[in-house]
Amino acid sequence: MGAAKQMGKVSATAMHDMLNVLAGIKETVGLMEDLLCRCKLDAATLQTRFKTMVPAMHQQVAKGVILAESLNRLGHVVADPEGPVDAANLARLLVALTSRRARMRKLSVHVEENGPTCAAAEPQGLLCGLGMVLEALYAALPAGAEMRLGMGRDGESGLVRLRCAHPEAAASLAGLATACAGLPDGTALQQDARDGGWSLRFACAQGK
Amino acid sequence: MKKIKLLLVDDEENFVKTLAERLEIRGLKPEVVLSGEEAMDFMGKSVPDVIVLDLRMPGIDGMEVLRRVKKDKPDVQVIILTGHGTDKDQAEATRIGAFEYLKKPVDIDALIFSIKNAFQKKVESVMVAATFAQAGDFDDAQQSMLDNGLTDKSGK
Repeated sequence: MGAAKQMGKVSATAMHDMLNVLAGIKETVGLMEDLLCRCKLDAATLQTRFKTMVPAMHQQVAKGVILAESLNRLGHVVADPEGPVDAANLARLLVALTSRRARMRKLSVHVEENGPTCAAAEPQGLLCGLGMVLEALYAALPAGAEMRLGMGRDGESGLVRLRCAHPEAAASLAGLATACAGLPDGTALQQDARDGGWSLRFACAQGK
Repeated sequence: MKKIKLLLVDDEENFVKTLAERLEIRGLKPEVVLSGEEAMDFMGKSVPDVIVLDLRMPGIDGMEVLRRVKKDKPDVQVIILTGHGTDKDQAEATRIGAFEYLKKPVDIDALIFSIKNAFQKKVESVMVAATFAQAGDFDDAQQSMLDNGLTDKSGK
C-alpha cells in the first residue's frame, strides 16, 4: 500500500472523528443559544447550566486540536519524506489518528514512553507498514484487548514491538502475518520466539 | 407538533444528549440510547415512529440496526445521521430503506424538518396498510409493497 493510500485512510478516519467533535461543539453552542433565547431561565440557572457545558466544549476543542495537529504533522511526514522521523512519534501520530477505529472495536492502544529512540530511514515506509499492521490488529484483536507499542533496536534496525496481554491475543493474531502481506520494502513483521509477541522491523537512519 | 415517538441512537454521549435537549426545547420527546445493542433492546419493548441513527458505533453498527429495523418493522422510518459520509454507505443505507441520510454536523431545523417528513411517511404507510387490510385480499403488488415497508425504488 502506498503512502498516499495509507494517508487517505488515516485522514478519513481522523476526519470522521473531527466531524463528531464539530457536531458536539455545534450542538453545545446551539443549546447555549437556546437557553439564552428560547428558555426563560433566571440568571442563576443559566450560570449553573453553562458551568457544566463550558468544560464539555473545552474537552471537544482539545480533542479537535490533537486531531488537527496530528494530521498536520503526518502530512509533513508524507510531504517531506527525506527528513528522519522519530519512530515513536510516528507511532503516536498513527495511534492518535486511528483511535476511533480502536474505540469501535473496544480496544485500547498505547505507545510506551520509554525506550530507545530511532529515526526511520524511510518514514513513508514505516508509515505504510505500521498503518497496515495497526489496521490488521484492530480487525483481529478481541474486544477489550489492550495493545502496547514499544520501541526497540536491533543493530541497524529499529523495532516497533507489539504486545498484548489478552488471553485470546495469541490465537487472534495467528493470521497477522498473512493479513499484513505486502508490507513496504524495508519493513518486515516478525514473531518473537521467546514470548510470541510481534515486532515490525524497519531501517534506522544512520547515526539516529 | 403531534407527538412523535422518536429514538436517537449515537455512541457520542455528549452530542446525543445535547441534541436531545435541543429537540425537547422544540417540543419533541426523544428517547436516547448509546449503542446498536441498546437500540435493538429498545425496539423489543417499544416501537418508535422515527429513529435518528449513527452509523459507526462499537458492537452492532448503525447499518446492521437499519437492516434489522427495516426487516422487522418496515414502517419505522430511519434517518441516518453520521460523520462518516461515504457515497458507498449512503447508497447502501438508501438501498436498505433509510428515509434520509444526513451528515454531521447537522442544522437542527433541517433535522426537525426531516423528522417531521419521516413521521408523515410513517403515518401514511400505516394508513395505506389499514386501507388494504379493510379491502380484503391483496394482490401480489400490494402484498409486495407491505412486505417491503411501502418503500419505492429510491427507498422513500
